Amino acid sequence: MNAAVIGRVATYVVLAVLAALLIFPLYVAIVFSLVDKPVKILTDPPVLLRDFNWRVYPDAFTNGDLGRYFVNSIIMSLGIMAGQLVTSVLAAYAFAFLRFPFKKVLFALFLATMMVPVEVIFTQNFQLILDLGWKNSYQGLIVPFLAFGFGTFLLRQAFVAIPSDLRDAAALDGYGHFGFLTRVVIPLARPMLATLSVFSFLLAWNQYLWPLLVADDRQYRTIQIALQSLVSTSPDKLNQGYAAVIMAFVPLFLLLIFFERQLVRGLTAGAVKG
Amino acid sequence: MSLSQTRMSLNDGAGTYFRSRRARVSETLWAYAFLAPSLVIFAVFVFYPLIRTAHQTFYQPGLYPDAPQRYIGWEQWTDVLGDSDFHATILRTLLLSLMTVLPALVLGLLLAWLVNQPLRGMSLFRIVFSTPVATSVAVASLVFLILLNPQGGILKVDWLTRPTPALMSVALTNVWQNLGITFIIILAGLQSVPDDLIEAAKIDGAGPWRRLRSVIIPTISPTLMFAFVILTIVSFQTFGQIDILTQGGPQDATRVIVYDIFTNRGSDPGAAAVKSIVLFGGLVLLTFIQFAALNRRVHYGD
Repeated sequence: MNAAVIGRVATYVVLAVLAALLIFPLYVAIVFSLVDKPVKILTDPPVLLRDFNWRVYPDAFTNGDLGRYFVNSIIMSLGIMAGQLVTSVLAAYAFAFLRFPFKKVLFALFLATMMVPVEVIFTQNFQLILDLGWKNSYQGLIVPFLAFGFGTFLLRQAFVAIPSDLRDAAALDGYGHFGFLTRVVIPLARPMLATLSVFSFLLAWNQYLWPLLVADDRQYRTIQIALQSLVSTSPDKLNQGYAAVIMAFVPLFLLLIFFERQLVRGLTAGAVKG
Repeated sequence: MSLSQTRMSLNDGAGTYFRSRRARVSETLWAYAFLAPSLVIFAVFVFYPLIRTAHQTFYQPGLYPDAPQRYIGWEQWTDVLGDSDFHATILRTLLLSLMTVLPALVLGLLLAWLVNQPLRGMSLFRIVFSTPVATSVAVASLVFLILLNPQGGILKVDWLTRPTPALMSVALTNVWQNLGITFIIILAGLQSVPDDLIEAAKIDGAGPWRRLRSVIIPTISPTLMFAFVILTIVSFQTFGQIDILTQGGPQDATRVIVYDIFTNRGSDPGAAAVKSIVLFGGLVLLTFIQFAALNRRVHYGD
């Protein structure tokens, strides 16, 4: 009994220490972002908040022209997310419900695309974007990512779990493949579609290498790429730079709070159990 | 109706479609129509650039601007593969990977195991430990710049300007940024461990550490393998952290393979292509290791 209580207290202490260590870097960034006068920020970096000023955030937003970068990031991420959902749903339907020649080969090909990330092919892919005249454009940021091998795999896993009776019933009711997909499969697979949407948005929003190459014009620059120049402009704007960093983090943090359980469940269903 | 068709309809039995030739053709057409959008994107933006990269390894730019490329065969491959600078880059990439993957796995397992205890308030800790998932490479790197900045960083250390500590700093940033997804993956695995397995171990008198070592870790080994492969792939692709924290320096100490390709792609496109294909080979190898491990699990495991 006593040992159990000690064990529980010890667990909480360990958890609290680890949580504090993990959060510390973000905490310091928040302190930096709220400092009123960042003159001494580099010689005497603040660990505790002394002279804080909420105005840093609206100032950072207007001075840094963050609205434009946020809009670019949102257009890019929503575009990639929506496109990946459509292409992955269609492909996953074919792999889950239809019989056709070369099915296994094509499925292997879809999975193989996971072995070819941007980092392997970016030089030639960038050349292609230049040839198409898509440098500094939304299509240059979005179109190369409109298909998603891992997303197709996750959705196929969810689709094959749908009982085949439902398919026969739908056929009797006169639904073709498209009707069955939109009226039965998509409503039933909604949890997995939500997981995939969050995952896809997260990956797109956080991209670094590709937007750095493709969108060097301020008009199409995404927030991730803008952050570095915002932080390194001048020491007396460092607080505004870190306000921008925190503002780029917060939307995804909110998404995480709402969808954390969904992400765990989706990964368990799709990938972990295989 | 011919005899064979009759037999087929009998064999199919209730609940499946009668598959006439026409139905089969129509099903194939539907399938390819559904696959077409993905296939077009993959063909144009994955496989075509990959083939172009492989092709590029045999060519060098012309001697003057607008001159046609020169075919040089395998020369470029032997040059790059024999280059001691490239050996150092590969070694550095593997070292960074090791310093990223192992700490992230151990910490991720520890955090997930602690949070999976049946205690109050764990949902709060779940959110806290998942937080790095919400940070991008850029956010994580700029946040760690505050801690590690040589001029008055919070930690008061001079790591980014010295070779070995600089690589460790990049690894530290990597570990922190990937801890969230590692924690989420391992927690998902832990939650699928059957309760009676743990109870049985308790009845056998196994303490918490022993349960972790002899029951939990073997049971979730496929999950740990999955996390291991994801982390290794991500660590091979490290770029943004280096672009923000060290720009490959000091003295090339953090010039890993992707950063190397990025900086030399203009001056030596052929060599950059060879390096890209080597990176691709590494990723293919990793995937096969994962497949082999999963197959073994099917044979000997549950």
